[in-house]
Amino acid sequence: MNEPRQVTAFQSAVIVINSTIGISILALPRIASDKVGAGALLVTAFGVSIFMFCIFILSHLCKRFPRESIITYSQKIIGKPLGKAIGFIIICFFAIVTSIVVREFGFVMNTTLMQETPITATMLSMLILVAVATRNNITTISYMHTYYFPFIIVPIMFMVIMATQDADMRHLKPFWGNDASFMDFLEGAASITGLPFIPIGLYIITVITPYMIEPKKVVKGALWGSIISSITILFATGITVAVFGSEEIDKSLWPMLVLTRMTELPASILERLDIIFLVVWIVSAFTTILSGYLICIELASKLFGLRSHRVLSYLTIPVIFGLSLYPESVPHLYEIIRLTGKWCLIITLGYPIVLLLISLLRGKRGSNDEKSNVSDN
Amino acid sequence: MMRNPMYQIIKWLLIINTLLLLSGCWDQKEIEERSTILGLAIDKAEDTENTAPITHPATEDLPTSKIGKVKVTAQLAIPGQIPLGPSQGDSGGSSRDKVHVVEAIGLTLDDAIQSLQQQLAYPIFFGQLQVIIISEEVAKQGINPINEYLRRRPEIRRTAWMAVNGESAAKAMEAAPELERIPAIYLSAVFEEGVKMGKLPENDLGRFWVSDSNKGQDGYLPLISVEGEENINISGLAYFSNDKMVGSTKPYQISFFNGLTGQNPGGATGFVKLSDEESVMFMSTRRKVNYDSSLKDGRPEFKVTVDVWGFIREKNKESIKLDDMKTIEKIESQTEKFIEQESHRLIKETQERKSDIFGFGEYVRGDLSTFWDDEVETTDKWKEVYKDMKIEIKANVHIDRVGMKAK
Repeated sequence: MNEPRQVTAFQSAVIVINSTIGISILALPRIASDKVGAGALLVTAFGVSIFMFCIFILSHLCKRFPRESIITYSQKIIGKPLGKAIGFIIICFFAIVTSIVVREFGFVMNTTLMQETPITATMLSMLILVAVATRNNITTISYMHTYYFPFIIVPIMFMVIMATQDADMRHLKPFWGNDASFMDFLEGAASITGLPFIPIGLYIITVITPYMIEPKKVVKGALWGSIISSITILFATGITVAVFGSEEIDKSLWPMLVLTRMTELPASILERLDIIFLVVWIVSAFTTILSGYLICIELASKLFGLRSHRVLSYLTIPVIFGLSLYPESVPHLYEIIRLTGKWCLIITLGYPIVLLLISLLRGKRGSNDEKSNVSDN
Repeated sequence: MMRNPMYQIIKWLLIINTLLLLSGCWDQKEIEERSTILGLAIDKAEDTENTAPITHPATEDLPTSKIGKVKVTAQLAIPGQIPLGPSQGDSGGSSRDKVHVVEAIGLTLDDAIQSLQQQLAYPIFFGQLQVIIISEEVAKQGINPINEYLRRRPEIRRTAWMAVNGESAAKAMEAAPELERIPAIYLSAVFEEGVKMGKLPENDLGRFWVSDSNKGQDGYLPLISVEGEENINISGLAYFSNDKMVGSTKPYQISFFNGLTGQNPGGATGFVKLSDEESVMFMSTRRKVNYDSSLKDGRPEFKVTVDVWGFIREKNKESIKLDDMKTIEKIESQTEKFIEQESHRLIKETQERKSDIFGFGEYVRGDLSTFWDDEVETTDKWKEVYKDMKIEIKANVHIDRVGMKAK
């Protein structure tokens, strides 16, 4: 590898946060309250704890193989043909997930901000932007993420704070929902972890670990990242439920977008500020799509034995774009999200656990070349 | 001159880049080329009135919503006429000249909007919609078909206001108060300032939708009436049961509603009778409310404590000694009695009409969730429980100021 390895633990945390907070959050309160009503916050808490657990498993796996990609070490752990086959499935999965995010982004833009712009123009320009960004090495991309980080986290927190004045605490009660069974909670949590941003936020750490200064710190960075993004998601979902109540949320396609549009500065300085806040969601969509796209091309370049992910940057555009044209309508898109979500946990949780267990049993671990050999602990 | 290929590439890239900048204008739209609707009034049209066959062939028996045929009256901004920023000197003409009122009839709300569009050259734009007025007749039929349409339009803001006009909604669109340059903006100012003065509960479209959606709560809207040609008067709250208007309060009852829901800032003034001869005007400044729910014999019960802070505005007799602590205490206890009595009456009235505008049901759903899950679950069942629920009201009045006068 001839790329610089300068990603710090802080940057890895930032990348996880940026990748996780994406356009799918706009629909999250509706998906969360679908089955359990007022228990939406608890279901989201369940969902993000599963996410944190996944991060924990996967980052430990990455730590065991600090200088390798998941494609290479999975072949060492479970054998070449199987590792390659599963690697290919993972790449396909992420191509689909990324295209879903692109299409969702297109729909949100199309219904709210740019009603007359053809959806293909919105999506294609986003994809080209992402492809140009991925022409850089991973270190530069992590700098990009660090740059966008405050533009995502600060406005969302501001929105949460501004919305507290409209919140009605009755909407959050009872905490465990009305007449919601444990199965409802499990199903709800599973559909949250099935939302596209969870696998993207998760697998991005397998891409960045080999380029970190100290890959051992990936556990710390990724966990912190997942904690902060989980807290942000919980706050944002909680405030949306508190303002609208689960009944009203069910009537809205993107409840958090409605909340964003309600945000006003105190004393009506700049009355139509909502447009500025909508830009936040464009930025967060960009960072999520960037990560998803990067996972696809980085893993694919490792699978096909290419020199660098950059080779695939432009070649992948038609693939993702073609896939993103598949959903016919908004309801169809959410149907696809539900379907991919069902298979999601196998890849996000099942596969890493299997890999970690087998690598522990067979005593396989990667070497930490170039660095002073830290003794095993 | 440099003639190397690098220079050529850069030159052409720059030229192409400037072309890209032009793409920002491809769907530009001048502000004059839009029909900006500021206010919308929705009335029920007579079944015999013919709708223009714009979205459908002119045949009989087309299914309408439960409202039946609707008549919309829209107030449009005339672009050149609306002064931007503070007007210098005479802006000329009355406020009526600044807007254009159009009406259309349709089978459903969107059908009517489409036939409205047929009369207007430029595309209708709802981004500046300030008020939606519905006639009482429509409100009594149920307003879900209207909410349906409004929720679906992305550019309609939840900060707009919806109100019920006693008679015809269209009349409110034609009223042209002189105080504001644009009638629809005056209308929305009536509501927004009402909230700031504590005379109206905070209840814009978004909040109305939330309380309308909640299982344990019903919506309410301000009720207005047009006085003469140009005055808008708030004449109470219209309250709903499910999506149908079932009754309305008197104007003075709004302040008790505000008290019961703990709306701030205060600002409502009450006429407090002290004896047969004496009375004072009491004005609230701050309100606080606490709901205490409990289950007794398997039925929910509420204890509502309303705390009101305020001051004395006026007394009708010199004999009332406002510098005496005893008098103040007496006024306080009289006001408390007044609030308790009137709040009780207000709740009683809504109970009779099965309209839980206070959201007692939401407290039950949240705090007594086992009772809710076992016995209620649906909004209709909750209305039956609410109908004869026991609610106890305790008011605490704190008078802290008496104005500039010493006695």
